[in-house]
Amino acid sequence: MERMNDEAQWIVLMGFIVSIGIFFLAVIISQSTTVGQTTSEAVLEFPKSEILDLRSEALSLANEWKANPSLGESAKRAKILEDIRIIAMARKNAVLTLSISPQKLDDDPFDLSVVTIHFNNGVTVYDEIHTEYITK
Amino acid sequence: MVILADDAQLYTIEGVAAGMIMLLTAYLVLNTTSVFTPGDVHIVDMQLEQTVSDALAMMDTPDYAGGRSNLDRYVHNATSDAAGKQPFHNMFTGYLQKKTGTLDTPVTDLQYRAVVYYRVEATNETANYTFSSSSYWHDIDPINYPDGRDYLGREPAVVATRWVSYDKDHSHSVGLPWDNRRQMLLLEVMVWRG
Repeated sequence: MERMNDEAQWIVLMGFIVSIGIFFLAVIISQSTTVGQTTSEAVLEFPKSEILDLRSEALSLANEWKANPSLGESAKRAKILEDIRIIAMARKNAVLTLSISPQKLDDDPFDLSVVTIHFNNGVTVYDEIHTEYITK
Repeated sequence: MVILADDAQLYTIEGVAAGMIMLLTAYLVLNTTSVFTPGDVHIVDMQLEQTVSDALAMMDTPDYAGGRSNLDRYVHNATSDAAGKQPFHNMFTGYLQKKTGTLDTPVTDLQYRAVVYYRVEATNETANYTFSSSSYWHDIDPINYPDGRDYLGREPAVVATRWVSYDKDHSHSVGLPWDNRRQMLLLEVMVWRG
């Protein structure tokens, strides 16, 4: 076998190491744009503001609605919840149902209202059962 | 049988290794040729949507606990220019185009269209009413509202929404298109750079 010229091995080795380093840096840079894209798309898809807004509306209704409503009052409340359901289906393509069940507590200094929120827009599902305490 | 010449084995191995590295590099290079523009990565959309949501949230925050918010008041007066459309426009665009000090911002080109969606009880369908838009005020008063145009930019529009609770017992303008009963309305605002 022919004897190889093995001078300058260090130079060859350093060249090899540097090229490997550059290669990995290039891989990292090529990933960075897709990382920014997937992150911002995930943020855009998650309906953070919608859920916060919906929650605050539900809680303000819960604070307003007293227990044992009359028939007319019950019908009015049902219409409001139906507004939310129909509009959310039409404009947000989301299944959105709210229920608000106020209860009168005779022995306590507060009443309570059980609020359930069901939100599903196909990507994000959000369910909450919240007990709101309302000072008498 | 011919005896194979086995000289220069190391050169052969080195050549094969170098060839593989070159092929791998070419593969990676060809894979990363998709061109990303800033609009493609949706980062500006994310920022714009957050700005719009924040502006609506600020407008929907009452001055004191249990009070009514400005947004609530404006939507109750949605058919009135003076009590509904104009204060909404001024406040909303004011929040979108916040300036530092008295310096004019270089970007005052955010266009918007605000639409109220409501449920018609008779048909159980949604209907909509165009509440206000930047071009609406530009058409009425181009001197004071020079920026409102329906120009389109190259970046996509974003939509932010806000629920508004309508109460017929509160003061409201005449000729509102929705039924005069207690109900939930959805204010939907589309914003784009024009």
